[in-house]
Amino acid sequence: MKKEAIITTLSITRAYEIKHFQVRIPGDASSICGVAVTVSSKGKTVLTIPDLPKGEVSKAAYNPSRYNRNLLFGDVLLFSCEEGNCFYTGELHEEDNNVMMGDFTGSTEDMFGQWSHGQRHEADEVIVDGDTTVVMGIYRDKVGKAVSKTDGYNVRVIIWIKTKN
Amino acid sequence: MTIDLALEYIPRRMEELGFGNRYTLRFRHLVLQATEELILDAQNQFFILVDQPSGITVDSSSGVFDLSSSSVNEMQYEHQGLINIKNMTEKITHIRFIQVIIKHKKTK
Repeated sequence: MKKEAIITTLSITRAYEIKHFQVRIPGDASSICGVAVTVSSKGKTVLTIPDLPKGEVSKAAYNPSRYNRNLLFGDVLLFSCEEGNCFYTGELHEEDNNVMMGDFTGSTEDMFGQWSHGQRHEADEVIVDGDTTVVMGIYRDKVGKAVSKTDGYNVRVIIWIKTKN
Repeated sequence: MTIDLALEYIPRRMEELGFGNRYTLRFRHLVLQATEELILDAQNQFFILVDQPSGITVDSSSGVFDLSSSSVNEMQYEHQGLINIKNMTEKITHIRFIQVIIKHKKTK
């Protein structure tokens, strides 16, 4: 049994865009075992904390006594054609801005954060029958008008499957 | 979606979802006053839109039906969960659904 990832990229360019999409599941899939959703903003900062200039978000994130909003890009729902129906719903954040909150060790960057602070991207575990041939999804943009100031951003929906062979 | 298509579609869809014929149907013809907003609680139910009304937004977790929207790439006729229906016009508007109510599984 092998694990494979199916990556679907959605390009979001309009404010409050709602995008329906379908992901084809190969015939040898025995189950869908994980879902991860990531965002890449084409090298630009799409969102900023209001009182900080662009590009200062990451610096603010390492101030241990300050609470920062986690900025929301949108939400994703995935539906299988079979009994699973709606099997995944999740909100999409670029990063956790409070990951170093309360950490007074003085480090501005934590190179081990992916192990000690849960910064490493992990797929959310789901258990869905692989008999479904298509997964239907819907993405709703929550960034709004800030999208039009940039060239938009890309959302990657990564579906992990287990194959029979 | 026409009513004929919906009646053809519903049994197949319920079979796919594993409900078999454990469901009942109701025809719902909703009348919305000017700018009225209505929230239907359709958890474990399906509302199949059998109209193409303009000036009405139907928004649920499955998607959106709004003929005037430019931000949606597909219209959704099958809705479930919390369904938000809004009349965007200044006049009374009608909208018709077929409601699919899933029956509880009998336990012995």
